[in-house]
Amino acid sequence: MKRSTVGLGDVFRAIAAIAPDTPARWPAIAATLGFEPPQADPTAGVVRPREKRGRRDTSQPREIVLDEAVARQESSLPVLAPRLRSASDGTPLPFMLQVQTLPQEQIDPAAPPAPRLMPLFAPATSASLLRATVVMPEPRGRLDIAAIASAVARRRPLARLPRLPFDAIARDVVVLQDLGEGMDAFVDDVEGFIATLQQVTGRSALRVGGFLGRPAEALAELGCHRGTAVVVLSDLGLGRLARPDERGLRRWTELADATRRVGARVTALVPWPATRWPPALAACLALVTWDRTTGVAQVMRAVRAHG
Amino acid sequence: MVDTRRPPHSADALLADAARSIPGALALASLVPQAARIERPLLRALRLQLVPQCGAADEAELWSSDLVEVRGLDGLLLRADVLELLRQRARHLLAAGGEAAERLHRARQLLDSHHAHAPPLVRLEEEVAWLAMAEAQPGPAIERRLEVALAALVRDQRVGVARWAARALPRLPEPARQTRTAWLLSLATADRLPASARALGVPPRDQSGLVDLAALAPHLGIAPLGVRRIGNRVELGAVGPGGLALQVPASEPRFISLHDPAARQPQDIAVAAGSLRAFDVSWQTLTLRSADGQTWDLPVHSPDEQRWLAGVTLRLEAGRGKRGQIRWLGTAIGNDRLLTALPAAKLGMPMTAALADGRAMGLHLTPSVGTPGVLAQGRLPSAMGGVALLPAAGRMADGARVVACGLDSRGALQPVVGTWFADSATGAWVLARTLAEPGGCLGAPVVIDGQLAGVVLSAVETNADPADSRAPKARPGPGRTLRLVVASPTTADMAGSDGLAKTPPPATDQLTVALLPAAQGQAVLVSWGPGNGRHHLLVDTGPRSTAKAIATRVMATTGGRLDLLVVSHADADRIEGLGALLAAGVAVDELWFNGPGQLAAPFGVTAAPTVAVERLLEQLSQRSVPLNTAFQAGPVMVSPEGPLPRVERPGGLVITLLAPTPALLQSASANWRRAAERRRDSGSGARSKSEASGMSASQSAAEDDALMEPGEEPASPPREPAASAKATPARRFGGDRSVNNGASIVLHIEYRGQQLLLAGDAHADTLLQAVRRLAAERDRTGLFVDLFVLPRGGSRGNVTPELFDALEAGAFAVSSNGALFRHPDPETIDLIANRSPGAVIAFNYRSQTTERWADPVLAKQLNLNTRYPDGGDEGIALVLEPPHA
Repeated sequence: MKRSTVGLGDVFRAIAAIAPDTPARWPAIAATLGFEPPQADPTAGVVRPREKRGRRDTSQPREIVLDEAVARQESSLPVLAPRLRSASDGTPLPFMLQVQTLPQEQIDPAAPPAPRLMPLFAPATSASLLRATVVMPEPRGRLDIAAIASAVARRRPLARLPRLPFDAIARDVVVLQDLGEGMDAFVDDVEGFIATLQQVTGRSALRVGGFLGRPAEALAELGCHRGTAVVVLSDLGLGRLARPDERGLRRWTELADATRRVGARVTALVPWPATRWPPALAACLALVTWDRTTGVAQVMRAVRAHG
Repeated sequence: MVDTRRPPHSADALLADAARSIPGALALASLVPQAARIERPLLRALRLQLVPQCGAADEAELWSSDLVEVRGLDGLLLRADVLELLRQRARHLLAAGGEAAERLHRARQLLDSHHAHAPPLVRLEEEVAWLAMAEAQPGPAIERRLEVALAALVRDQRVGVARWAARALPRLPEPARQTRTAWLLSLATADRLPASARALGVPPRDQSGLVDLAALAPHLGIAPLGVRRIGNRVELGAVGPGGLALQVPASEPRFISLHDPAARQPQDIAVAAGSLRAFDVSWQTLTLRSADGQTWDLPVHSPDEQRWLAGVTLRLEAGRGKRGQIRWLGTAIGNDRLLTALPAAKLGMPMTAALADGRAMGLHLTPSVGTPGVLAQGRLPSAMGGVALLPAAGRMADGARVVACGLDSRGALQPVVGTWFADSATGAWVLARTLAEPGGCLGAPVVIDGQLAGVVLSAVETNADPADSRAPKARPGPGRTLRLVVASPTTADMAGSDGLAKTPPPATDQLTVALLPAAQGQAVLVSWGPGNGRHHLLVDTGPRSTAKAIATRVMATTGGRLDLLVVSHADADRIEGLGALLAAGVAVDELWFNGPGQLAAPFGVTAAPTVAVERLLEQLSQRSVPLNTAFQAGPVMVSPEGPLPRVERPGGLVITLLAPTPALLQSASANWRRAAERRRDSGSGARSKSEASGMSASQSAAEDDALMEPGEEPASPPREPAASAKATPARRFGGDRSVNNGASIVLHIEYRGQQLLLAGDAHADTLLQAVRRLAAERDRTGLFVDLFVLPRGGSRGNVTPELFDALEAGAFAVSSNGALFRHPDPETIDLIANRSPGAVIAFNYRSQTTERWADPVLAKQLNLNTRYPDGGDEGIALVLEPPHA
């Protein structure tokens, strides 16, 4: 057999060597070897010029592309010993001789400290804003001279001396922290808010609780009475990660009703702009945007609007 | 960090959608596309200082958007494909200049100031990303930066760089990933962290890779490259049965240079893993050359020779003679090396047994032949039984064709082709013609008529008697005529070995046991199953001091999923690492732990005894991890009667629970109740989160000690290491009386014939009873395991000579850095040396308390075979090979 000719025997040897999993692949192997079975030629009888076929270029080995399906594990093969071992003596790469050493991870005491989180409320007004969220009107201001004069002029009895309203920091403050995923972006802000509020109210006057979905239940667990200022830190379920039970209006009306019943007041700090608040929600709760643009007057207005 | 859902949108579509629906969030994300991560303070500073028109809601929208791949306590990571597009946009903006470019420069300053304290590699990553955006020709500058990381990994052996590269390389900008150094870095990383190889995502190099690879080859591991020659065709890659493997530098793709004498010049060939490439070649001998300078010749062999040279794999086998168990010792590296693997002097006997293609056969080991030490990583048996080699008389008919192989004077493999003759004096002999040396044929397996018949017992050069009508009809040509005596074995009594090799995690299906660096505590990661379906079991999570490192390693190895997590007992140095593990995003399919909830009903425990346990319970309640599902949510314990609980895990791993018993849990529970009362009385129950997190290791240990009852053994006091372990007077074994330790969960693990014993901090007498009970269930008088992870870091208080009488192990492992308790105790190592001479002992730290046994003189004196982490690394991974891999 001439070596340049591919015969049926070569095809069978190749099939035996490759051992394909199905006979359907035999034609592909045969085609890879250049073997084409005789086919009915519609132009039979027509004499055509022979194609010029150059000699095989032996300057480079010719690659045969095989079906990847014949790939098998190589790790189980016996190892062939090399004729020559590596001449390498482990000499490092040339550049490694001059490359600087990667510094070790350590804290340089001389380096300036890493910048801290900038709070959501402007630092200059932060304390005032916080104070405004937790004030409660108390009847212990100065004497209301105008009211006294009016009563005397009309000869009405004064059972008690009328006094001007006085906004005092509530003696009992409850912070309800929304633990939903929508507030993940602000966990550090919440922590900072509570720490700052503690300075405003005093440690003993502040109680902190968390809720997932139902703030009224969390408040019921913590307890609430007349004069309690409740501050809710929440995204109101406005974020896209909010669960369905965090989006409903009812949970907020429940909270508003619960506080109203006992004479407490609730204010919600929301890190979303007023344009995104559900109108119905803004009607039942004192909502305050928790961001740089918020001023003390806005907070006072929101708080007073809900009594 | 918590992996979030990844919608199936393309990055283009995502950005277009973000531009419409969340423009403020997109503006924030576009400011620092070079950032390795974006923390909350950085995000806030970017918004307030650079895009003040954006509100807090834009932060929230970025945080929750699909642009983010990972969001967690530390901050967020944007999707890699999104980053790539944002970087391209930033590149255009920077090139165009103007206000937008100025804003990007200011954002970079902010990023630098916020990350001034970040790890150096994070800063390097961000610098590289910035160069790719800001420089017109960033390649050389990026190469220089990445060379620092490559040098740290390869030259300075800083394994942490590999972990960084595994995470960071796929996220680097395209121009950086296409650099030569990034490719080399990915190779070096894949070599050290094989599990990360697929995820590295660095595109394979073209054929010039061989040149680049040559420089790094000495620093890489090796990988097999299959080769098979059939006449005028040569195949490379996944050639399948009948091929041979060339050990080339581990790279993806692998490179080889093929030189055909008929061709003008060699051809560099890249072969991707799992692929096959085939080439037409001439009929002459080919030369293959790898990047590290090894050279192979591929001659054309006859079909018989080819089949022999290519088709036989030899394995040394040994076993416990008395029990008839056969243990695996190692795979011979090529047929020709089998002779050179185990010098007889080291064996202490001239013969052992071998398997060739699954058939038992004899092997004559001769110390004068070849180079010793090829299989030196396998522990040689200490009490090897005899193997008789009997002449293979009468097995074959005269004239049968014999094929073997041998080594020539250069050490190259040569075929030995001959004819079989029966002989009344010697039983049988073979007359063969070969280029091999007579000594090079000793022990060579012999194939007769396609069947393995035995090994060459002796080989002498002879002049064939021309008068003998049975003169050899082997092939003519150069070489010598040898007279070979062939023998086959009786394998009745074979000796044992550990079958243990300290290697990186395997690509094949093997049981891997990694003793993670858990300081004085323990965290053992057991992995099993095939390469793309590995399962993982973690026993204990180490103390707080190593929590982050362990979480990182577990993430890197497991991809973030544990099939089972077992907390052996409630010591701080076993449970404190759990928080970091969960925070890192590791999902736990099931947890086994005897906590207050499980001990409440049967034993009346009402509260956590320590802050560490309390913290553990908090973390578990936040994650809803299924607890003790295999035990119907009750305590993990063995009943005093009946069979030991047996639990099958996915992938075929079988766990047999050996301890604790109800009595041990009862004792521990009583102690817990008292500890909880003491805490309540002292007011420590009302501790804050910060108090818990601020506990030091010694405080944690002190808290564990608070669980001890009067009379219990406290932590070993610090003491100076003995100059010689032999000189140290033996102290009391089995002295640990901590009821908390005594209630440890003890696991016996089996996988494909390999056995592993994880003892927690169990008492020696508990272990002894458990071992005897398991052995009795199996009709044995004792138990053999391939690996025994010593209880309590090798404390003498948790082992006894009686335990080692009942329990034999192929290898022992010690998890301790010697801190606090100065474990392991020299008495324990002495006891192992005394009871299991030649034993392998693996330490997960090279520390003051362990490195004394690295001294070859002492190791030889004690007849120990010790293993330590490579270089300055901590933690050690052990691969248990199946008996018949």
